[in-house]
Amino acid sequence: MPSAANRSPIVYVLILIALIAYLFVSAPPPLPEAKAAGATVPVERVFAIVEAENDVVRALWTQEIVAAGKKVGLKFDEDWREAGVEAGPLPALFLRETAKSLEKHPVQLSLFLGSDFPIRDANRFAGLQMAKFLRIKATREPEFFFEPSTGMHTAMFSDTAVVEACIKCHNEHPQSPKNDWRLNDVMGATTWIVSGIEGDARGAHADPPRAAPRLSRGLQRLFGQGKDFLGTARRRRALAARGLLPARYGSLPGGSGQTRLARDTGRHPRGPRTERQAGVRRPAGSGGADCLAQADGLVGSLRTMSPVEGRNPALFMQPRWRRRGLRNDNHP
Amino acid sequence: MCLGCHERPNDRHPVYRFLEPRFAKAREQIEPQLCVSCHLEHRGQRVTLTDTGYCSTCHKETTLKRDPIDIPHERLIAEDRWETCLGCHDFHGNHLMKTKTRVEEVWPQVQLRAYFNGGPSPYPKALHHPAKKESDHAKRR
Repeated sequence: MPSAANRSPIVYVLILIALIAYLFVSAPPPLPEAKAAGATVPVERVFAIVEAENDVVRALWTQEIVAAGKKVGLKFDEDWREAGVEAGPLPALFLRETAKSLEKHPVQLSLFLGSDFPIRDANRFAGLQMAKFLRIKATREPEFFFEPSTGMHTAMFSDTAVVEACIKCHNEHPQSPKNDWRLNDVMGATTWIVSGIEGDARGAHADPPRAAPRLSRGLQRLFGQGKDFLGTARRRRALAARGLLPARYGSLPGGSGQTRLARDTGRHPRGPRTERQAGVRRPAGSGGADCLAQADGLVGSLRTMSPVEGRNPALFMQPRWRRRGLRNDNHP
Repeated sequence: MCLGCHERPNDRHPVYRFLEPRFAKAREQIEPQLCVSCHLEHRGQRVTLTDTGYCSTCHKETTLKRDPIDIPHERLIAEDRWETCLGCHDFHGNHLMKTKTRVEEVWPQVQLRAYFNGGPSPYPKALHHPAKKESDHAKRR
């Protein structure tokens, strides 16, 4: 009979064999990389996804930054780029900043905002775009078309007055050609153009949930964000609500395993990651905007903003020029 | 490549803007979607356009509800006085200056043409965003 000293290595080997067998049997099926590698996405879906992404980010800027910031005295102005003006961009101009960022990426994806009654005359639709926009106003459905003069796929989506601040600003602006905007009016449209992709307008393509994450990596680089495109519950809900993802994706919990652990237990493996986890309590309705008043500028404000859905918006809202260590004269 | 040194966040007429479908006519006439359609500074000529009134390509319908100048823009447009545009405005909006409010004070076309051909600039020297130096560009390469 083997002694205790001789028996222990045998036990370890048996345990190891059992563990290997268990892992082999219980291993998940391999990911269908080969199938996904050949997948393509219809260009309409690409447009719809980037529009949904833009909607979410712009809504975040409008509601969580501009609305909250104004309550504590921060200024947002159409002349925010002018020297000597200490203010942040209004939502429509935020979109323009988004458009500028897109242009820095090698994938040619361009974004524009226009209207039939714009404050700036230069943003008035004309020609084919005006014709498409009039259809959008009537149907509220997006328009997809190929523009022969640019050789680019083009999409237009309605831009609707969703908050009172939009119509108030446009109705009261001295240069506005229309002063009777109402909530839910189609005030304009976003126009997206893209080139250099194999867009197939006929549809019938790969399973979007598989294709979208591959697409998302490109978008992630495009938007310079630190999170996967489909990686937040907010985005998944937005995409699912627009029918771009199956409904089951919209109900998945958000965050990484560590974030979920922190949410469930109030503890994070590396300590509190958000003010919420740290137990910071702010007055109801303040939305953490009191941080804004303490900051020395808009960008500083973004960095200290309290979390939205457990995430710090500075992670993905920080301007690209700041991430690259560049200078912005308005916020030295 | 140009924007590697000349990118300006406050550009009033960034090149990509002209990729929008509604600027088809402008693309056909002056190709504003390309820097080199107008600029050849690195080859000896500042601006290659011979017509200082090129604003007419896009701004024939421009109206201002509250016009800040003594002769309204609408009247200047109706009278085809396109040579006056650059007398008050610089195309890319990069010069630090206050826009004139009296049309008689605008910089004359002769001065603007000379500037296009490499002569002295009528616009203030101070810039919002000076271009990066060529030496810096060479170092990066």
